[in-house]
Amino acid sequence: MAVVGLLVLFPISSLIAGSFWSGYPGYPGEWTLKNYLDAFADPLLPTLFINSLVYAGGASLLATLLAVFYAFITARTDTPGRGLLSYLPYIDLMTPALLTNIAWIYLLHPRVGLINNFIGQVFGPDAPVLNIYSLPGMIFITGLNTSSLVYIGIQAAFKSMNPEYEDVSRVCGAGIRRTTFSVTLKLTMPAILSMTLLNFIIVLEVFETPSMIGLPANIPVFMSTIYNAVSWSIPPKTGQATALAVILLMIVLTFTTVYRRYTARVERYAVITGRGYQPNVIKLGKWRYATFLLLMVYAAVLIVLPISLVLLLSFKIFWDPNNLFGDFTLKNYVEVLNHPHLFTAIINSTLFSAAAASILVFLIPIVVYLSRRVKARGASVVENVAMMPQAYPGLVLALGLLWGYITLPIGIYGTAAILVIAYVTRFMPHVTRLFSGVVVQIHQELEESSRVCGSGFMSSIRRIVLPLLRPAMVGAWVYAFIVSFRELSASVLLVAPGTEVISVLLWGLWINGEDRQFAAAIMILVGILALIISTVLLIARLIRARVLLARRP
Amino acid sequence: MPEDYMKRKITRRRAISATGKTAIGAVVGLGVGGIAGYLGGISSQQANTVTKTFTQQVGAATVTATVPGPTVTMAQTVTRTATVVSTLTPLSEIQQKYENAKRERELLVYGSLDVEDFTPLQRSFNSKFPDVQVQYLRGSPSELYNRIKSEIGAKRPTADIVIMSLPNILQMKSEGLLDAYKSRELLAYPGRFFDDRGFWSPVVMLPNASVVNTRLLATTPQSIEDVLQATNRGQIIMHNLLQGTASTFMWGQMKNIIGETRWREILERLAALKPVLNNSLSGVTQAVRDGQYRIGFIAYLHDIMKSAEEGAPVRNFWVSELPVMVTINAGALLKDTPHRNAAELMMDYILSAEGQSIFGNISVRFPTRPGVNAKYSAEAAFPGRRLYLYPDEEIVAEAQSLVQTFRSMGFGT
Repeated sequence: MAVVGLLVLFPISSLIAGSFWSGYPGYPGEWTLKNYLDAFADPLLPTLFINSLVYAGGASLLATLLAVFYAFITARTDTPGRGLLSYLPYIDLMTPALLTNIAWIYLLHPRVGLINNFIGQVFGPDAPVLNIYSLPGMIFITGLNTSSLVYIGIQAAFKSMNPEYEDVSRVCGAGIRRTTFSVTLKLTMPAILSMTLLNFIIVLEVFETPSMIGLPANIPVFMSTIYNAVSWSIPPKTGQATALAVILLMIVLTFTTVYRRYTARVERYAVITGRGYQPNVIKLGKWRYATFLLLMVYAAVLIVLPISLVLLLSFKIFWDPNNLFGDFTLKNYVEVLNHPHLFTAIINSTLFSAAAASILVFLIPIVVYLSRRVKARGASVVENVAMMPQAYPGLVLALGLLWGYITLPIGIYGTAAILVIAYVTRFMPHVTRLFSGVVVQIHQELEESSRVCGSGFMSSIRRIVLPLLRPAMVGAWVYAFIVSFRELSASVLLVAPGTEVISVLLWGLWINGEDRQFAAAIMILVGILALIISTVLLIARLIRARVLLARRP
Repeated sequence: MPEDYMKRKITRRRAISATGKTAIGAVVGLGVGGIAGYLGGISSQQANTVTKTFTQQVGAATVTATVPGPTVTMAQTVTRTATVVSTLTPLSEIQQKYENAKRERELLVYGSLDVEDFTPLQRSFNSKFPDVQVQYLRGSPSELYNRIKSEIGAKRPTADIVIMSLPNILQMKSEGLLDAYKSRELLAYPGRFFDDRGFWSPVVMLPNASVVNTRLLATTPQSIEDVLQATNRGQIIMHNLLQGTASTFMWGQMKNIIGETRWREILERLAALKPVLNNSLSGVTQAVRDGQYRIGFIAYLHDIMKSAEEGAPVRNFWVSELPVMVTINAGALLKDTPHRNAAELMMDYILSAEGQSIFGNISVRFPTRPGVNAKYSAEAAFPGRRLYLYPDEEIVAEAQSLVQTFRSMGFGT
């Protein structure tokens, strides 16, 4: 708890102090409310708020619908290829949001978008075009992009569910549809709501789509305003940005409190109990081919189309929708592979991300478990503290980390340690949410039974809780590794010579207008990530197989 | 009003350039008498000392100087490995700095230039001064600003030199984040291209230009009327002039050159065409290159030329009625630099003919030092046109009011 408190409260207190300080932190100034008064007095604020809520609400809703559908089909039905397809969202997680946005711009740009070009050729030049530069366009990209995160958060709930509730429903005469809606979805609702809430907050802090699509379309949202204030102004308007971020923090804490009250009676949602369970697999009959087709469409839209398009771009000098497979060149790959920092950056990113993911997967289950199980006063506060970084857009949080850690006399500024700390702090809320949905579902009677049988507290944790958490731990590690590997906002402020990471290198290519090299680098990056994640998942499977083998009589 | 302004500028510039000319003349005289040539790396067939007279038009002023040409004498030092050659900086001074820099051992440069663009110079410097390890950290201007401001505020200065576009450097100067250092190499530069007190020096030139997609627009616009045609409504992308950064200053400075009435008329008509505002200057060329828009108004010339060299259907242009605007990437020593001697040595090298020649042969960068042996130059890109440097410190101070003016004209609505 002390570690979580230190990791979170130290940089955030720097930010809060910064929002009430008239000057730049560390420089002369005075305490003031001006930043807040300015934020509230901005005539654009109502527009930003409405746009942001519609955008975040729409994208979260879309992401949840897609994720629930995908998780249900892959976890609970006999759709062909569901085992393999269940890993698809992990591939999507490996693709940076920047890639997805670029891909959809080239697919749905009103003038040069490939899909619009195709529509024009089939239906004539007067056919209506799909315009990515719109609020629905922003919702579509972000909803699609974040559905993988929601999926990873809820799939464990579908996989870990006790089938007896569904059996009872079926025995009582309910059909598949009614059982699914009345029992299965209701029982997984804590995980679904939890991830929807998390996703809503994540979308509020997404800056790629608001800046790449929203700004050219003249659709400002809360985040693009903060991002512009910090990223595009010299001197950066850090006072305004931190004030807006503190307001956002209040909103997030309100949402978190509401959610906790809603899930206060945790036993109501506990579906992993003392009895053995094996989730039911619903036999779909001939409909399984239809669900297979739907999964393939989702996979195509989520992964195949964007990655194919960027792959195509990586071999081109310039975009021409009428000459897709002409003028190919390897120049972009050659230039990227000759980049002086490429290999150092890949190795650094791998090591730092693995370290951050391991720390998170060790630390957060303890935090969530204690928060949910220990009846001591204030125990739940620590989970709220772990959620606090979520309220801060990455770049603003990075400023807090910079301002906080640069003043520490222990000398971690400019080292690899500060990057690992930054990743742990930034992704602590994500991993907390991933675990909280699962811990809620584990009924206390399991541990009580263990203790009645003579096991101590630690033994019960090791033999009961940890094995039940293992799927979530593997998922969380993979998730934390990927998001840390991709992390940009904090990295750009904290890297030093020798600690360069791949996301910063990619960003440098993008902002310098080297978008084709950027596309080539992204493809290399996705390949490396796929290799690492496949290895980790393979190892996890082997360990699981060994454990099962050892348990055989 | 514009005439007054120009006269004032010209007078100031002439005064500066007259001092510069005297100094340059004196140095050339000394050079003939025995001061060693350029900082190393010059081909052997060009080893003879030569002098060269060059003229450059900067704004309304003409700068003429006679300095040793880009390739002069090589002089070997007795130090371990360094062969040091210079035009304007005495060899003894370089040697002394290097001896001191050896004790400092390292140097950290923060810059917004691409890593690939800085690496050739970094390698060349390291080969000449092997006991000083140079490291370069690339970042966007805001990232670098935040780092520098925080490091200096926390009294933990890390970097020694910063290289960023002039508007950002001027902001940092106004906040006291820079240290003064006036290299002798500056004698070869036009007066307006460096700070009088040595707080910043030019590194590479960043000329602006407009860009057209030649597939979407067969005829390149020649006049501002060609650009402001109603048929271009929704077909123009421009750098966001509401950010208080490069474009804000460029358009702001232009007011003083073409007169406020004409300036306002052009911008209001441009705003009525509903141009898309892009935060990244490089992104303007990208969007035009890929056919998203017909015209990019304005972009960086080096981005356009690079795309054109690669075969993209783009062409740069600059309408006849508007002045050709250039800014620079400036370099400066940071306040409380931990490696002062190494930093001075690096600044001397960046400003030397050889350093500038390295930049000028990268695809595509424009050297700031006149007359260097380079593949690219701003003068060649705009033959016969005057180049107007922006921003000056008065315009930087007006940033917020300019943004309000542009907003009131209809941009960003």
